[in-house]
Amino acid sequence: MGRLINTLRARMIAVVLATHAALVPLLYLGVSTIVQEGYIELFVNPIRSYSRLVADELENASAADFDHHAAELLDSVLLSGQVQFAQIVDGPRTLQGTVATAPFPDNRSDDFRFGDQGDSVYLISHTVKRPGGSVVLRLGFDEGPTLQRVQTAKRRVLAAMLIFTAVSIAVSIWLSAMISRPMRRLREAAQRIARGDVQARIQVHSSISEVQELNHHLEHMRHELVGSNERLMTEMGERAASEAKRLDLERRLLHRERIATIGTLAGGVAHEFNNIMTPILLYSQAALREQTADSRLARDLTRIVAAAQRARNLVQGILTFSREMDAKRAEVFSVRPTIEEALDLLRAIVPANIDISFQAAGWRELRVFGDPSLLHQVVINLCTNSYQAMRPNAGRLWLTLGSVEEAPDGSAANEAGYVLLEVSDTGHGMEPQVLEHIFDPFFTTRDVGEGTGLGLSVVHGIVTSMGGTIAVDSTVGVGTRVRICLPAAQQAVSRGVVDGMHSGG
Amino acid sequence: MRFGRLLSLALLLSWQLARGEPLKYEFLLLPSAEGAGTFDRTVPDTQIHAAVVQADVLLTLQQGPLKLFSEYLLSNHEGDLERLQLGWQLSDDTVIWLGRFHEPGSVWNHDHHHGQYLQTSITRPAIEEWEDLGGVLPQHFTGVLVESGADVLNGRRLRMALAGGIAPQITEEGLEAFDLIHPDTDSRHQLGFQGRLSLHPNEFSESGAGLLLADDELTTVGLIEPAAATLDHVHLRLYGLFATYAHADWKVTATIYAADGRMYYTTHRHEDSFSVGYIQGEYRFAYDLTGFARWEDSIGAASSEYLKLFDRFARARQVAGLRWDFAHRQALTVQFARTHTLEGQYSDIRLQWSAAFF
Amino acid sequence: MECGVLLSIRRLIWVIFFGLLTVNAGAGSRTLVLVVRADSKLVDLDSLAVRKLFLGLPVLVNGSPLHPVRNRSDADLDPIFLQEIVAMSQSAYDRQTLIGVNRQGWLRPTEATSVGELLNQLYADPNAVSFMWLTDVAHNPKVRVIRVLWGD
Repeated sequence: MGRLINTLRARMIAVVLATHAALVPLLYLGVSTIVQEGYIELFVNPIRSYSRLVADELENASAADFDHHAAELLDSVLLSGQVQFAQIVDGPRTLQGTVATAPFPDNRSDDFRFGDQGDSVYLISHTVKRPGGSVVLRLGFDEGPTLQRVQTAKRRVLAAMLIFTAVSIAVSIWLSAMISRPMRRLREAAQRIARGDVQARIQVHSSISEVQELNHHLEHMRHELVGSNERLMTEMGERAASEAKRLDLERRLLHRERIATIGTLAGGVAHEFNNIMTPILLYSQAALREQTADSRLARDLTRIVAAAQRARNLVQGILTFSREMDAKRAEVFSVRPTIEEALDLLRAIVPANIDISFQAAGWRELRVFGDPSLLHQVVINLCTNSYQAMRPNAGRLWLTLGSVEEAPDGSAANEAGYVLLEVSDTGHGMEPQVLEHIFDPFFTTRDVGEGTGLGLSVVHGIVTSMGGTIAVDSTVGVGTRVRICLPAAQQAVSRGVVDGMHSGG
Repeated sequence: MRFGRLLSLALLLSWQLARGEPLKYEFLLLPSAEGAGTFDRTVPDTQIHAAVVQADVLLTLQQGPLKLFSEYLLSNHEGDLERLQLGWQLSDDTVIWLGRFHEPGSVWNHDHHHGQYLQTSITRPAIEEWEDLGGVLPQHFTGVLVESGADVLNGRRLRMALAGGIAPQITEEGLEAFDLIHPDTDSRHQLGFQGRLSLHPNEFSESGAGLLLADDELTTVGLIEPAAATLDHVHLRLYGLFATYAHADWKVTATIYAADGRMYYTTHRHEDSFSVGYIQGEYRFAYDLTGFARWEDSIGAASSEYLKLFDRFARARQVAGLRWDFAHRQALTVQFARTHTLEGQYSDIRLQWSAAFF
Repeated sequence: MECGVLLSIRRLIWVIFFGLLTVNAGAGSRTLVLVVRADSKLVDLDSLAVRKLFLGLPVLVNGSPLHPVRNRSDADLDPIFLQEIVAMSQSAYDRQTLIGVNRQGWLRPTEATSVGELLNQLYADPNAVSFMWLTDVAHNPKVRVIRVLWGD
């Protein structure tokens, strides 16, 4: 039973039905009693008054020819239409009128209440005082029409009650629909929110103020939820970004420390090695000068000199990687001419099937503070890596130079902005696990003898020493893009700035 | 004061004559409580009280043929001795009264007096209104009233009432009846005479028809309105016809008055006339539910100088309502009315509880 | 008012008549009679006068108003009173008496709820008029029957 009436509509109908089942019978009884009493009053009062008037008239009738007067009186009351039976009992005699009527009911006592004896006749008798004694006037009034009116009225009352009940049920159904429909929509909205769809507004229209209030509060809750959600997402995003940044900074710090360690170690070894190689090279060159050009010793000495020079170059590279930027050589210089100079040199080395292009954005001269020869070396190293990644196939190598307000990491510490140099190629690209280590010293994917693995480490070191950042994007099979961001300089930079650039990069 | 002495003397003589008879008494309480609201008004003030609680108390003392009958009305707005009548029952049909009574020329007030329970509608027709509620015709007299009746025309009942006494005065507040308890010795009250003759099917029938006549001399006191300041007195003659028909569920009452006034100013005399009538129908829907409607109208009211002395007079009104008789001798009545006065019009709705307790 | 001799003869006839009726009454019939104190000046009252009296209208005999007393000692008497004496319904009777009291200060009939109380009121007031069952009043020399109102 509880399950059957657990909806609003079912409960409202049940309540209406129960209330009507309890009250309608009582109401019907009450109303029908009132109606019945009204009709009875309308019947009884006039007939009592009328019969009394007839009795008074009979009492005042003259004694002479009483029977005749009595008969006339009886006829007049019968003909009035109100009286069904009429007679006068004078001792053993009974006087009737001349108008034909149904026989007077025998042994019938008087009625004092409507419907007393169940024969649809209301009998009234009056004792009328006459000069010779008393006579009894007996009049019978038809209760039938009044009974019919009472029955009709009761049926109408019952019909009205039933119609009222039906209308009440219909109204309760309509009312329950008015309430439950918006409640269902609110429920659906709540379910949507629970599923995660918090963006759609809750807009349930209803003329019921409670539903309107509920809608308003749910929408407010949704709005707050959306706001909280967004704030949470933002916070999570910020935290993730902060964590990523922290990890990146950690990695870079670790890398920098490793590089610094390697650099220090390599620098020390290279310095000592350079000291060892210098006399070897000098004395070999001196011995070569004393030999004839085509002698066997000259050929051997030439090989020794070449090897010594390669060793020296390698040492120079290591020293360059490990050495700090020479403050005496640092200056504010224009970037574009330095790059163009490097490209001129590269065009002589790079195969012809590699298309080299350079584009400088804007007309403004872009300056940075540093050693122009180091930037020259950066360009050479990057472009060399690029064309080596493309050979023997054809490809494209292009450089772009521009300025930005913010560094790629989002910082805007430099008031003059930043110079952005991008070197892109259509080489074979690098996988992510390779990309992780490209700036590590001596890391190379080439075969032994094809590279020292110091090129990008040197580039990283130079850019960092100039206070810039370097980032690499690469997609296997598509190409690689290296982005270098250097603080722009508009005027001569102080010593403190130089020291700061050395320490932090 | 002289009248009071006369009354006391009559009382003493009567008591002597009635000595030996047992003293009988009858007490009737007719309480009522009413709430009213007005709306759709163009008049500044309707003088309708938002709430009226009143008790109409009737007391009869009878010893033999001598009767002392009084009616005292107490409400949250006033307390007045409305009737104080010393009567002598001459025969079954005839009684002579001495004292303060309601003038017999008003059918409505003769039937209902101050008792709200006996009156189907909540308000009475404007022409029948009491003096202190803005009535324009004298209602309370102090003098002699003779009421009688006779059986005529084969069982029909002829009823008669004749009265003569001290008529009210016209003051700035309206008509003011003679105060029997605190008579003003400086007052200029004059005399008035009224009569009613009616024929009824029998002694107990509510149906009937009749004539009404009144001839009253109404003096003025303290009128400050410029147009009325020089008015000395008004000789008002009233001719009326009335009929009531009651059968089964229906009852219809109609009355028409034709007033003929002669207004005596200090400088001139003005002949005034107007006619007022009303008809009220009642239908009993069920044993205890009665609907009623009344229409009141007038001719010549707008131009009557006499009626201009009474700014609250309703020259036309439509009334409708429903009465529910519940419990034992208790009734609830709701009534809506639209009233047109000489100043403007307004609508009002009223709800009243009334009862009768013996 | 009739002289004393006639009055005595009348009384004798009524005693015999009602004595006979009383015998018949023993067979189960009831008779309602109008009664007064035995020495009352009232000899007869027609039905209209009876009706008026019990509706509160003034009815005078020899200049003195009669005082109706409604007998409510028996539950059967109420409907008989309404039908036979005042000839109207209870609500119409209430309204009629209310109107009379309000208009002219009529006195409603006093009521007696027991035969003893009724008899006491009759004994105390020579102008008191009431109705009783014949069986209640028979053989009571202090009370006189003036007419039969109803009998079944």
